[in-house]
Amino acid sequence: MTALEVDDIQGNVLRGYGFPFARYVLARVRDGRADAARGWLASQADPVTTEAGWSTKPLHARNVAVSYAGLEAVGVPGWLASTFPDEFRAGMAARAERLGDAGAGAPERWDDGLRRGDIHVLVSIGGATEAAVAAEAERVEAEMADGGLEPGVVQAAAQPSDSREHFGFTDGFGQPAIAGVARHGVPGQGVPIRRRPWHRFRADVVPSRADRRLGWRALRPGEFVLGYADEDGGPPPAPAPPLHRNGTFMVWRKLRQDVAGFRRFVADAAVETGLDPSLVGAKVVGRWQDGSPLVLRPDYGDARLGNDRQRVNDFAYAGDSAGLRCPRGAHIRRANPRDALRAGGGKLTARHRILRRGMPYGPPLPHGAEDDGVDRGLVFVSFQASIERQFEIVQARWLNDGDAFGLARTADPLAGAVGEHGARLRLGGRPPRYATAMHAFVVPRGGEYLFVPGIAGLRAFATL
Amino acid sequence: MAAATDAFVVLARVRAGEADAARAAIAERWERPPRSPFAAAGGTHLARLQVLKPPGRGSRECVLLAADVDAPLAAWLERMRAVAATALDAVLGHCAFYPGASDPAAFRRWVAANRLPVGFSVIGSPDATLADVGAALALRDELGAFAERTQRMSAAELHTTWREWRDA
Repeated sequence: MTALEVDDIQGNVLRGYGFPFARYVLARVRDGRADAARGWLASQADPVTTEAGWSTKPLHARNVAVSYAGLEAVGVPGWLASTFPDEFRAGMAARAERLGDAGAGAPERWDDGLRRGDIHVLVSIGGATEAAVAAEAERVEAEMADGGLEPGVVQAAAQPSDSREHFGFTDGFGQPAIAGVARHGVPGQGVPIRRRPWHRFRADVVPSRADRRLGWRALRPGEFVLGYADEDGGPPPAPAPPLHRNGTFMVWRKLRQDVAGFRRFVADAAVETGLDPSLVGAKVVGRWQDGSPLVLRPDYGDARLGNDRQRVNDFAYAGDSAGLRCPRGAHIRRANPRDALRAGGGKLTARHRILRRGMPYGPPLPHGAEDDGVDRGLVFVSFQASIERQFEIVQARWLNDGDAFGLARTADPLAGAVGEHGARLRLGGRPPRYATAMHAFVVPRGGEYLFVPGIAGLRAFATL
Repeated sequence: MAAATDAFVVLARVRAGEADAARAAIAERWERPPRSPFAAAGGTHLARLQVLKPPGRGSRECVLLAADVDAPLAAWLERMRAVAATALDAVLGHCAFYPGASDPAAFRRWVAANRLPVGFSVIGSPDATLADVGAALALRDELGAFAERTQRMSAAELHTTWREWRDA
C-alpha cells in the first residue's frame, strides 16, 4: 500500500485533533482582489497544521478549505475548475432538493452569511481553550483582510467534556478506521468481514472481541483522501494537477437542533407506547445516551460499555436483521449500516462512509426547561473523497429515505428530512410499538461544499 | 400470466466529436428539470441515461439508455416518445442514424436496431407495476398509522377497530 504523505495532507482529516473548542471563519473574496486572495491561500501552506504527528500538542491548529465559488472568485483557470466534480461545482444550496433541505431548512431561509455564494474560504480553528481559538480567529480575520478577503460569519463551537450533543447522546466516537493511520486498531470502526486465520498477519484487520467469527478491516485511505487507492481499487476521481493529490472534500453544515421538541417527542412517545423515555430515545438513536449500542444492550444502558472504546463499536447487525434489538430505522443504523444492507452488506457500506469532525454550538438546554429560543445545534463537518457518493448518499438515500433498509420512504426521525406525513419509527417490542415525529428536530441553517487542498496544492495557488 | 415489468438497454454510438454535447444535453434536459422525463412518461421503475466508453469499443463513445419499466415495453417507449420527444432528440440526436422522435415508426426501428439483449436484470418488484408499488406503499403507510393509533388498545378494542378500519 502506498504510504500516506502525511506532511502534505491537512490535519484533522484522517485523525481528529480532539480539541474541545473550535471557530470557523468564513470569508468572501473581495471584488478585484483575486490575485491577493490567491496569494493568501498559498501563504496558508505554512500556518496550516498537517496530518504529521506532533511531539507536543499545540494550543491551536488551523486548516483551510475553499468552495467552488471561491475557486472561481480567486481566478482559478477554467481548465482546472472544470475538473472538479459536479456536486462540488453546484454547491450545497443547489443540491437542496437531493438533500431534503426544504421548508424551514430550505436555502432561501438559511442564516445570513451562510447562503449560496456567501462562503468562498473557510478557515477551521481548533484549540485547547476558548481564548486560544478566539485569539487565533482574530489573527486569521486580520490576515484575511490584508489578503483580499472579507471575513463574514465566525461560527463558534465547543465540545462538552462528556462529549454529548444537545439531544444528550454521546457522539463522535464512531469513525471509520483507515489503513495506514495509527488509530485503526479499534474493533468496530472498519468494514465487518468474516475472520480468517491468516488475518492475524494483516495489520489492517482487527479481530472482534465480541464475536470470534468477525473481524474489522480498515478502509482504504482513498475513500477520504485523493490520490490513494479506495475501496474500488483505484484512486478516486480528482481534480487535475496541481490539486489532484492529498486533498479531500469537506461538507460544512450548520444544523439547528430543536432540543425541546425532541424531548417532547420522546416523552409523548413514551406515554403512547408505555416504554421508558430513555428506551424510546435509545431506539430513535440506536444507542443509549451513554453511548452503549442497543444491539449489545437492548434493555438497559451500560455506561461502562459506553466508555470502553475497544467494545463500544464492536458490533454488527446480522444477528438482528428484523431490528428487534436495534430498530432498522434507528439513526446510527441508517448512517452506518455496517452489514445491514440487504444487498452488498459491509462492502457496499464501505463505499459510503464519512469522517465526521463536527462539534456542537450554542449553550445546552437544561433538563426540563421549555424551549428558550436560543440557537443551538451542531456544526456538522465531514470529509470524504466524493461528496456525492458518500455524504449525499448517507443523507439523501439512507437518512431521508428508508428503501435501502426495507422501510419504504420513511425518513430518519432524528436527522432525516421529515415530510408532511411525519417520520414513523418502529420501536420494536411484541406487539410492536411505533412513534412518529411530525417535524424535523434537526434543521439546516446554511453551509457549503468545500475542497481542502493538500499543502503542495495550497502553495500552487500562487502560480495558478 | 404476463410479467408486470420489462427491462431494456439501448447502446447507441455517438457521432465523432459530439459526446460532450450529448453530455451537456443530459445535464440540461434530463438532470435539471424539476421532473425527470423518465418520471413524466410514467411506469418507470429505474432508468439510466449517460454517455460512456463501453469496453471493447476502442475510443468510441456511446449513449446508454437503460430502464426497468412497466410492461409492455412498447407502450412505455411510445409514452416516452410522446412526452419527452424534445429531450430525447437533444441527446439521441448526437447518435448515429437517429431519425428523431417525431416519426414513431422510425423511432421504434432505431431503438430496435440499437437494443442489446438484457443478460441479467434485477428489478425490485418484478411482479408489480409502478401503480402497484405506489398502492402498496400507501397501504403500508395506512397500516403503520393504524398500528400506531391502536398500540395501547386492549385486544377487544383492537379487534373492533380493525374491523371498522377494514370495512371502511
